[in-house]
Amino acid sequence: MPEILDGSWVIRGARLLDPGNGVDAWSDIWIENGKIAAIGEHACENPHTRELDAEGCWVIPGMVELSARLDGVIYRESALAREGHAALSSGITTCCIPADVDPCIDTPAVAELIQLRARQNTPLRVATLGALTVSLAGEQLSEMRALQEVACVGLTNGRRAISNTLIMRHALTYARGLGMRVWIYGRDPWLHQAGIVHEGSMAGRLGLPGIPAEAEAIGIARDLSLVELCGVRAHFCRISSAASIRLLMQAHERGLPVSADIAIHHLHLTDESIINFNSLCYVDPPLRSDRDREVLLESLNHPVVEAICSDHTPLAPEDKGVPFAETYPGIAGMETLLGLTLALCRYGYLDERRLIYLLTTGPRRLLDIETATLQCGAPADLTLIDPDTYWRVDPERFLGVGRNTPYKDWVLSAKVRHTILGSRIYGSDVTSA
Amino acid sequence: MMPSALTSSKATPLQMGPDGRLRHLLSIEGLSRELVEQILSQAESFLTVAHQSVRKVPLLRGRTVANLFFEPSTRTRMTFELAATRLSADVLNPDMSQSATRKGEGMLDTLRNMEAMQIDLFVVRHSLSGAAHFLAQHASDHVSILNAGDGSHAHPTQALLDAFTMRKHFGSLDQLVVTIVGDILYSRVARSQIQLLRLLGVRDLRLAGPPTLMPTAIESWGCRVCGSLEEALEGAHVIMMLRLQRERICGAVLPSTKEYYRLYGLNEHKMSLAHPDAIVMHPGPINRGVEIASSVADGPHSLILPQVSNGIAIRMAVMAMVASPDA
Repeated sequence: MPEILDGSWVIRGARLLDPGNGVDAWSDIWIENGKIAAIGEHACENPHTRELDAEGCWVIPGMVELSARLDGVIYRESALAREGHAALSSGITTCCIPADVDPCIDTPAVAELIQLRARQNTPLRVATLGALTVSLAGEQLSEMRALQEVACVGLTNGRRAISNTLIMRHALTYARGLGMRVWIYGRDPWLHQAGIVHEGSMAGRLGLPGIPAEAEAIGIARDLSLVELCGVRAHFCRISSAASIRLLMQAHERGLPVSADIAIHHLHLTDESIINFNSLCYVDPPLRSDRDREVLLESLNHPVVEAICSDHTPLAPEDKGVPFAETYPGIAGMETLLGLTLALCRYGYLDERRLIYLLTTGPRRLLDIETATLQCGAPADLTLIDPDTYWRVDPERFLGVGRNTPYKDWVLSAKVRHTILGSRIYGSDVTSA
Repeated sequence: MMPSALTSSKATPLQMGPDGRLRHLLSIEGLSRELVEQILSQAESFLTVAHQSVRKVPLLRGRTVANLFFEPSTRTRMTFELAATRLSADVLNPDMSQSATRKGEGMLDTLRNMEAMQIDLFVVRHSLSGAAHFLAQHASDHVSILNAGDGSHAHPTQALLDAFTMRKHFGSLDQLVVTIVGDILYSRVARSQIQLLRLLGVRDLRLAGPPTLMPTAIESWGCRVCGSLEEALEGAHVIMMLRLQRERICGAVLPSTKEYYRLYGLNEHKMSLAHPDAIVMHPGPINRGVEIASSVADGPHSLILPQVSNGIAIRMAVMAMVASPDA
């Protein structure tokens, strides 16, 4: 349970890491009345200031989950509160709900209702994306300006590709007129819909219909051409294949206003993981080949990649309690996001600053929320993590509502000790502090 | 045997019980050659049961078998039912197409309910790949699952009866040239056949079929994809024809069944390319004039009907192995 910060708080001797602000130093950080009062020396007059010894720990900006499919819980108050608590206890202070949830966010009323529900039930900051087209049907443009006015931070048709190129062009052009970023899942609808798993030897072996990696690359190639034509800012979501990320890196190098994110499961798992019809590894886009995974890992240092996310999808047991092809895709991923990302750092694919960038500064930019959080006067929005504490993933001990994780019994490092958001503090240490 | 993706070692341990015995039969993948030989020899001994005055052995007396055919089938269900009754088991044939279990949501509840009725063995056919695995993953300890065909994934008893038929005809399999013809992509029969024939040492295993009906990465399955049926038939000892699953094929995969027959249909003229003692097999039901000419299906090389009788013996062997109390 959270504790209200009534007085002041000092975190002693932690490494402050805020790539958005160019901060990487070992120092004390003082928090008073929900704000960062000082970094380093501070003449604190509050006799009730509590100290937290954070030697060896890191203080980072609150993390962002760029895609939280919370439609199953948003209208259930206690479940939403649990998800919020799970996020904050995992170091995540902001999450973004994509437009292709149920009901889809194609009117201001839905966006406002989600935001209202979130405010009433959790201190977690919840951003929403609005739909590009009505009912995501790819036929009629949604009222994008109205969605913008209710604080939708971007527009997307989600996983429902707009197959009609002319309509896609109009949607992108209209969004550009509003200065909004468009979030695109690159996919050719016909090639994509014909399958459910990556088209490779495992699909052949299990007799499951395959989606070739080209389904994504073809969609991205088309949409990159349209982005260039329309001049809109575009973010490409959940890139899963080598060919796709190469197209995006080239487009970025040509100067197109594009960015990309990669889901953490595409960096750890491959289509081999679906052996024995393991539906916990059923995700959309699907897990791809080891070669795709290698190229994605190598791309993490390229500036086109702005974020790593977990594509958090908490599901009920019955959603996975059916044969593979009838299960819902998705992984309840928020609680393992930090540990899995830090593992990539330990394997040498990226350094610590870049890692923190991809979980904080990069996604904050995409959501147009403040990036320089570790500085005097900023509202407290930070996480204290111990990068060297190891823990074993046990879905039964997840704080959120979903147990659908393929990472059971994986040993991960990085324990979140505290998350401080405004005047509240969360985390495992709270009671002993 | 060369390593191949289709038979790699990461296979399922799900089918084997803690005592090392076969508990479920879900797929050929993960079976040892020794176990397969055991099933084939057991089937040999059951062949004679059909010719006894009382066509029964008491191995499964007091046991109950339920045929859960979520996907309709007449022949396979009949052979499983006959196999169970010849082993003296009690057999239930609930009409799954009419019941509430057509949706996947009900499958687990069906399983739980039928387990509570002390059913020992479930024979499962389902249109979704992985359905039998799914039930096996959730089955109680005293229950066995036999996969009677799941989606495009596996049909292990069909593959076993095919191998049994080949072995009865030729003795050993390792010198044989075997050709599988047709829709490999959607065929659970082909997947299981390829795995089993590789396991039993068949070295020259050839595939022929329209390129749109070949799985990707097929090269790693340990067989050779031929450019034409004629090439695949050259000197073949065994020709395994697959049913063209017209209902499975969505979209423009083939121009017409006529053109399919011209390119991949087996007729007497094409048969002349094969080994003079070649045998022709088909898992049935046959599409005459689509994948095979009547003159070949009913001709001297055809073992299509013996396959059916052998199917009962194989299914008896597998049922006895997983469900008899003292096996």
